[in-house]
Amino acid sequence: MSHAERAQAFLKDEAKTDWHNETLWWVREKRDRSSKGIPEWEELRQLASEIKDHVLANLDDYLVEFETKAKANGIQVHWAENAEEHNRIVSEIIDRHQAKNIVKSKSILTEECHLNDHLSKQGFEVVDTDLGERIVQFAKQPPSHIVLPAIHMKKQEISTLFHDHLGTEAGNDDPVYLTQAARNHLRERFLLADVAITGVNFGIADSGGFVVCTNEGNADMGVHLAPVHIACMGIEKIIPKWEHLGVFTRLLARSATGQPITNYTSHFFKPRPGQEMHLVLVDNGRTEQLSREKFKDSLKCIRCGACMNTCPIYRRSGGYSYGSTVPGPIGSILSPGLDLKKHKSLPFASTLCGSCSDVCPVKINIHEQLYEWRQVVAGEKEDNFFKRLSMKIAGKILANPKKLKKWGRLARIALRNFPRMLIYNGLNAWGKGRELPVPPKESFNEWYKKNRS
Amino acid sequence: MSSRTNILDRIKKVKPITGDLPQIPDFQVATDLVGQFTKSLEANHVTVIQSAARDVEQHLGELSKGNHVISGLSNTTDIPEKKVLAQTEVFITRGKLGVGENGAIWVDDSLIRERVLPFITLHLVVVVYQKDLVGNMHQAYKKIRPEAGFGVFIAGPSKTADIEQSLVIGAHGPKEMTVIVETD
Repeated sequence: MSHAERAQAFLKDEAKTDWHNETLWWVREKRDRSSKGIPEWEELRQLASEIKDHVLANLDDYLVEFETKAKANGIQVHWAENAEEHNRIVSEIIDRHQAKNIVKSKSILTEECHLNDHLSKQGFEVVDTDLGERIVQFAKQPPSHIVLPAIHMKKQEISTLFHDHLGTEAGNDDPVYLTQAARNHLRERFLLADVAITGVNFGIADSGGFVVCTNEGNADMGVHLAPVHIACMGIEKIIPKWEHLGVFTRLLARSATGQPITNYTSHFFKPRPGQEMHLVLVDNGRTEQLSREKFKDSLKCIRCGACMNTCPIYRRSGGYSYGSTVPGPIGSILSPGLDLKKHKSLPFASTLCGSCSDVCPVKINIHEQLYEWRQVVAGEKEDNFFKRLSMKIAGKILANPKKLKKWGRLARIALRNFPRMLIYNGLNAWGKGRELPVPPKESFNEWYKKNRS
Repeated sequence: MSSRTNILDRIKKVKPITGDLPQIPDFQVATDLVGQFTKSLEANHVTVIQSAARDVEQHLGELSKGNHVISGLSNTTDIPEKKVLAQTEVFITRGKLGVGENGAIWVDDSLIRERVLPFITLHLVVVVYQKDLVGNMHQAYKKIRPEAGFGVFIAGPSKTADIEQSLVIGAHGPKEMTVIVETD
C-alpha cells in the first residue's frame, strides 16, 4: 500500500485529522517559543551539524575509541551487522540470565529491529515502560511518532484500553487517574525486572559512556533496579567528546517538545556494583546509507521528531500512513535506503516545502534528499506506468513552443466548455481533492501580442 | 570475520571526508543566575527555597516531618532492599551544580549511594550551593568530569504528556521535587 492510499483512509475521519494536525502543530509552536529564547540557536544548529559531519567522516575511529573506553569501564560491547543479529545478541543475554521479567524504555532502534516480536517468539515477555509505548503495546500497535508514541490516540480510547488491561474504571478518561494507574502497574514491573533494556541518545567516544534522556524516569527506574542493563545503540549515535553534550543537550529537547531539557539526562559509565551492563552497537543498513553520497547526511539524525511535528503531510496523515518504523520526513529518506520497493511512495509524501530542513537541529537537508530519492525511484522505474507516461507526454509538449501553444489553447477551450463530469473524471488525479484553476480567456503570449508588441 | 570487523571495514571504505571539529564558543549567560535557575525550576513544577546555610537543617526538617526519609547527606544511612526502597517518601541529596537555562542539577554516584533513590522516592529534595550555579550546559559540562560510574541531570519531578498531550506530574519517578539553594 502506498502512503497516499493509507493517508486517504486516515483522512476519512476529518475531525480526527484536524485534531491530529492541531496537536502536532502545537508541539511545533512550543519548539519555536523555546528556540527563540536562545539567541545562539542557529549557531548551535551549525555546531551540531559540523560535529555530526565529523562523526560520519571518522565513524570507525570514534567507534573503536568508544568501545575501548567502555570496555575499560566494565561495559560489555557487542556488534550487530543487522536486526537479526541484534535480536539474537539480546535474547542470548536474556536467556543466559534465565530472565522472566523484562522492561524496556523507549528505543526506536529496538522497534526497527522488531525486538519485542523476536523475544515474544522466544517466550520472553517485554513490558514497554514509557507510558506512550505501554499504551500502544496494549493496543498491539507500533508507535506512530518517534517521541510521542500515542499521539494519534484520544483519551477515551486509552481509557478503554486501561479498563481492559488494568481494570481501571470504565469511562474514566482523566489523564491523571490513568497515569496513576500506569504508575502503580509499572512500578510492580520495575521491582521485579531481571533485565532492563534501554536505547541510547548519545554515545560519547572520548569517555566510553552513553546518555539516555527521559521525562518519566522510566529508563532509570528499570536499570537501577535490574541486575542486567542492555543498551541498544545505532552506530551513528556516537559523538566525539564529552563537551559536545553541551551542544546536543541544548538542542534535543527544545527541538522535540519545546522543553529546555528532559527531566532526566542520565549518563552511564560503569555498571552498578554487582550489575552487568551491555551495549549493542547496530549497523542494520547504516554503513550502506553512509556509502550513498546524496543520502549519508540522513545519518546525522538525533531522533528529535521536529520534522514530523512541522510536516503538513505528517500532521494530516499520521505516522501509520508511512508504513515504516520511523515515519515523517526523516523516515522518508531513511527507509527507502533499507527497502526501496517497499518505501518507494514515501519520498512523494511531500510538497518539498522544506519546513523539515528548517527545524532539523543538525541541519539535514531533508527536503533535498526527498527530491533526490524521487530521482532514484524514477531511475529504478519504480514509479507507476501512468505517471511515467504522462510525464513523458508533458515533457514533449513543454519542450516545443508550437505544441505548447496548440495544446494550451485546446486545454483552455476544453476547461471552459466541457461538462464538469467530463473534466473531473477518474483520470484527473489533481481534481480528486481540488478545484482546477479557472482557465483564462487568452494565454500570456496572446495578451502580450495584443498589448505590448 | 567478525561483525565488528565487517562493520568497521565497510565504514573505512565509504566514509566521507570533512574538515576539523568546530570550536564551541563561550555564549553569553544570564547575569542573575539564581533568578534564572529559580524561574526554570518553577516553570517545571519544582518548589525552590533560597536559604542561608544555617537555616538549611530546619527546612530539611520541615520537609521530612513524619515521612519515610533517606538522607544522602548523612553517611550513616544503610541502604535497604528494593521493596523497602520503594516506600521511600523523601530522599534528600546534594547537587554538584545547577544550570540556569533549564534548572538542571547534576547528581552522581559520589553523592547518592544507591542510583535508584532519586527516581524511586515520592518527593525528591536537592540542596545546591548558590556558588555552584552556572549559566548553560556548556559551562556545566566543563565543570563536571566524567569520572563517576553514573550521573544524571535532574530538572524536575517525573512527568508525562502521553495522554492527549495533557501534562501529568508524577509518571514513574517522584511526584514532587524541592530545591534548596544554599546562599552562603
